[in-house]
Amino acid sequence: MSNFDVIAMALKNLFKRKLRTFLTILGVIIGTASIVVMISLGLALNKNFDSQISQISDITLIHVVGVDQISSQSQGSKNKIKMDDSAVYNFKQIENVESVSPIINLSYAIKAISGKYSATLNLVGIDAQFLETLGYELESGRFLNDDDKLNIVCGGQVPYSFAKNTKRRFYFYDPNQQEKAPDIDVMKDRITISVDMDYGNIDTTGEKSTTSTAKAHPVKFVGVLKYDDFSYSPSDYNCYMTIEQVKKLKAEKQKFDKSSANNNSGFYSDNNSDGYNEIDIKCKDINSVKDIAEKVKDMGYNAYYAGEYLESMRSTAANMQALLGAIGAVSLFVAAIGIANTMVMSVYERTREIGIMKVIGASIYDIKKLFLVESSTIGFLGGIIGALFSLLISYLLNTTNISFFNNDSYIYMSSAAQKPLVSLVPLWLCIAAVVFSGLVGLLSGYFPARRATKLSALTAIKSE
Amino acid sequence: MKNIIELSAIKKIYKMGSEKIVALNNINLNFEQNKIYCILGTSGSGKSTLLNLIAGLEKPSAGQILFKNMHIENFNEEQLAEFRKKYIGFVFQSYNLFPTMTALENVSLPLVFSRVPKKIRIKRAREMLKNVGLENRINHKPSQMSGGQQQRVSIARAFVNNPQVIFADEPTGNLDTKTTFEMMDLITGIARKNNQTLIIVTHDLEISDYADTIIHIRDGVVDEIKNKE
Repeated sequence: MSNFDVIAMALKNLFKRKLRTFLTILGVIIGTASIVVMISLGLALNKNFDSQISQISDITLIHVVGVDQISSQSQGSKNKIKMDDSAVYNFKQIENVESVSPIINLSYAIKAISGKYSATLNLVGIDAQFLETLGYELESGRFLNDDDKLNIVCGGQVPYSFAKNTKRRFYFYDPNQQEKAPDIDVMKDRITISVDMDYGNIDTTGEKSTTSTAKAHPVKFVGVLKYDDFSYSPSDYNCYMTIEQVKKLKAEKQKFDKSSANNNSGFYSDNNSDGYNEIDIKCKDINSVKDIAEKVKDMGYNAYYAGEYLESMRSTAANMQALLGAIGAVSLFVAAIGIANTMVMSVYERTREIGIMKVIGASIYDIKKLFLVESSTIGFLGGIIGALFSLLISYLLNTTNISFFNNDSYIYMSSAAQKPLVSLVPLWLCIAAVVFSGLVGLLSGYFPARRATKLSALTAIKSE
Repeated sequence: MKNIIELSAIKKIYKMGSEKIVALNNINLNFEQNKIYCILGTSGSGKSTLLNLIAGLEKPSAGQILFKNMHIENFNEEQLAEFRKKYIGFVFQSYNLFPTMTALENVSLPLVFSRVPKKIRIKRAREMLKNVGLENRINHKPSQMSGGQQQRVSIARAFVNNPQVIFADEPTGNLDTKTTFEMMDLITGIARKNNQTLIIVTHDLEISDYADTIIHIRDGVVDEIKNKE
């Protein structure tokens, strides 16, 4: 029997039993679709993690955020480690480190005034060159130079934070603000800053507060970083200055806070007064990040890097994916039992037919092939329709507002314009689903087919 | 004349639980080429068992079956299938047609198993149906035909592969007298025309008139062999 004849006959046999074939195929469709959709949810989750991580920060960056209290105690008091220049020096000696920068934060502790507009600045001191290494892009102006003094490069959101001079100290996110231009042009307008948070405030009498002892420094904004509408970056709200300059401002702030009865010092609280808030390490490549971070941790520091989250997120996603896949696999398994049942019934029903075929010259291979082709056709057809069906489901999941596994933090981070993927069905998944369900069909048809070939021709013919 | 089938010391024992039933005992028969045989016997005489053994549908408990000097009692399933496909045609009492297939498809089925190309097998099936007088019923399904017509289709199917031996197991058992004679004329006519060996199993004495040699079977042994001249 030629292969073509086998296939033609198998299709004819399937078509003869329309309802049963349809129901069996339906089982496979549901099985395949559920396994594909389940996996697609996991894949989308993974992809979202990836893009989330890449949005938040550079993955070759390690943030050293302090001294590990436990390990520093165990090392004894003579070797007390600090977040200081010697730490910066030590980090630079580690293999595959590209550059290291200490960072001082004056978190919303600086008041800026431009005419009748004011803002609270989140000042970050950093090595001039390091800012460029972080991979930010400029909207206008330039990055910092080593000899910059009171020059600032600010994030894309900072110009918008200048508001009419009121008591308001904090900046609140206003989703509509992007529609209008910022009130001032930071690159051109005259701006002065002060460590006094009440600087420039209008008091109840309508007079400008002149009681402040803090000095007002004129500053110059030399660059504005690019602001991406679709991705959140902490840099959007930062004002970068050279580390030396921020050190001076910090000293001035501490002095002012001591002398002033006023406790209005913003968010700023300093429990690390003689060191850096953070030391950032830029690694040469992604592969060395983990090793370097381990070394830094061994030296007694607390350090984290984006990849760390990525790893734990990935393992969470993998667990989730395995769970989802298992649910899908169960339904495909049920479908496989359905195919096997259909084929077994078919063998019983066609016992006589099989006998006649044997008597008029069909070989056992012909009969086996016939049954296997029938069952794998059910598998393949179900797989193809199931894959198409899951593409449709995936499309619906992505276009309608359903969110299964994305937590609130994600929604906050991604803007409304970029809806996170709920389901992702790559081509390989479709192909794998079709091949897999075909194989399931083949396997579940195997035992019925063997049973058919083992029937004695004579008893088969005699059966009515 | 040359022997095409030689049976020697054939024994067939069925086991029914702990009881043994001897269906055939010490059968020695020779079948020559181009002759028509009739195996005659009452029901339960073992005549159908004998036919099944010669056709390779069952295996003897003891003895040898030589078909063109091949020991078919030693064949495995696959070899038997090949053997039946090549040398044997079957006509059954209950026609055994495929109900979902047309007359043409039923007749061409043995050719499908023999990997005959589609054009040729349709041509040969058509010819065969014409030979049995069914040229107007080619695309009818078995349910649309009378018993006689169905048996004609079954005869056409048995002869389409041009086998050397045709077995007919009570071929007219379900037919009326007039149709029985028509059918017997047809089947013996084709067999003689193509120099084929025809072995008919029946309990009907009238049918045995068509045969060259009549073999009487009684209680599993050959009772009498009558050659007609």
